[in-house]
Amino acid sequence: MDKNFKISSTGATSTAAIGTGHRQRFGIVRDMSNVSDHDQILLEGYGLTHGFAGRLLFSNIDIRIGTGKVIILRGDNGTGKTTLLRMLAGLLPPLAGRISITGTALSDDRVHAARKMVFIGHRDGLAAELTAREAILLWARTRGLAPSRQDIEKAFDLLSLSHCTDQPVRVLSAGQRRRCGMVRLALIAAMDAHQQIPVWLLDEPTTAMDENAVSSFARLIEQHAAAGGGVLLTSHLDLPLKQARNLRLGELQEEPR
Amino acid sequence: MISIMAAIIRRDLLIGWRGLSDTLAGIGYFAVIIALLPLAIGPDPAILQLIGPAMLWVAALVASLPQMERFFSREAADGSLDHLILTPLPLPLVVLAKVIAGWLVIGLPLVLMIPVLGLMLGLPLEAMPVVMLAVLIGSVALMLLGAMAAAVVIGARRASILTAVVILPLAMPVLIFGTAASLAAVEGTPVFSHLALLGATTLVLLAITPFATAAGLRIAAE
Repeated sequence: MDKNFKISSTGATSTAAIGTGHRQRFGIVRDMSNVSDHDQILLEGYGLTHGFAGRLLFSNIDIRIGTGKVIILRGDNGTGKTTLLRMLAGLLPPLAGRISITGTALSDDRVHAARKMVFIGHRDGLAAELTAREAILLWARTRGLAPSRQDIEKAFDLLSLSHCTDQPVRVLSAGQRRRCGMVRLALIAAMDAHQQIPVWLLDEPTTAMDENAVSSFARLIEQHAAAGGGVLLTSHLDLPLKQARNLRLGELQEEPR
Repeated sequence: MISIMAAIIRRDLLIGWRGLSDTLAGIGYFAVIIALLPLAIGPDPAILQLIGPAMLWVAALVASLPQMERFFSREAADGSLDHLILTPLPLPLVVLAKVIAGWLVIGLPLVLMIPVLGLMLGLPLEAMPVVMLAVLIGSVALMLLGAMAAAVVIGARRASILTAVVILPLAMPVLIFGTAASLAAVEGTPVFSHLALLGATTLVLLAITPFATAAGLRIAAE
């Protein structure tokens, strides 16, 4: 761990020397403060660094999500929000640094990490040929969840999508499809599986959603936090989340809220 | 673990069923290649029996290529690849589930078509069970290779040609032993050694390719 950490901290200084002509594209974000001692740490990243083609995108990022916390990752386009999120999900190995999910290192046990978290990227991952119900049900089964018919109905109802349940994903509008992707979260809520899958990583979850959908989505997030889960999401919108903290990527400060 | 794999298989079968026309097109392609053969080289039964088994294998290989190319391309396009990789199961097992589903959708129809197409080529009826068994074993190997090739070419332009270039050289042992077994069955000579070699090839691929495919998928997701 020490070795990795060293690599990332020297990385930060060397980029400053490289200089890209325009705004520096890395940020040292330290957000360890939001977890007090009695909280359980759900997700932890130390000294995370990533870059492409000899240029650092971000370096030496420390991030920690405790139970009951919602963090909104902010930053301009191209500052690495999606990259950081995919890295924390285990889809992208960090150049330096380490990640642990509920105390277990991601690189040691990917299956454990996958079991504890749900990641929803900017694409929804719904097969166009399936109906919304089939897509969600079969996703749940691959997560080891066994939802009943009522659970599924309730989940679709939570995001007011009941009328679309049996329509093929192909015919859904962009906003409906986005909501349908988020029905996964609603299903976790409907089955009260908050503790089972506590870490939610969401990339631009409210894209193309209307106002009503955004507010029911926000209620879902708050419900998860209240049940002891942790959420890290990226967004350009101001979401109606009271407890959420904002974290800016690409600048050297944490935005108070 | 089994239930998660079953869910992956069920999902792919359901998608395969909705896209039934693709499967039928694959079978049709296979049938058309075989139907063209007697037209091209004449209806002499002696020649057809000699080259028929080999043609069945080449046609099966060629007809399954366009379908194998789509092993992961749909997932890569709609974002389900991320969910597939983040399935709480070791990734090679996820790959294996995909291969089983792929075999049921692509490989099994080819096996079932063998008696019909074999008769078109004038192959003796008593040779059919062995030819079918050989294609059954060989098609599993092809699916394993197909999944690996599809994982490697995710995101590439002209993925179809690239898939063919990756699969075809690696499929050579399968083609050689499979054709040898089928030809031996038609000629009435012992088939066991050819089938055993074909089976061994398939087992080696079964042991290696899921890991290679998993590595390809991880790289594609980055």
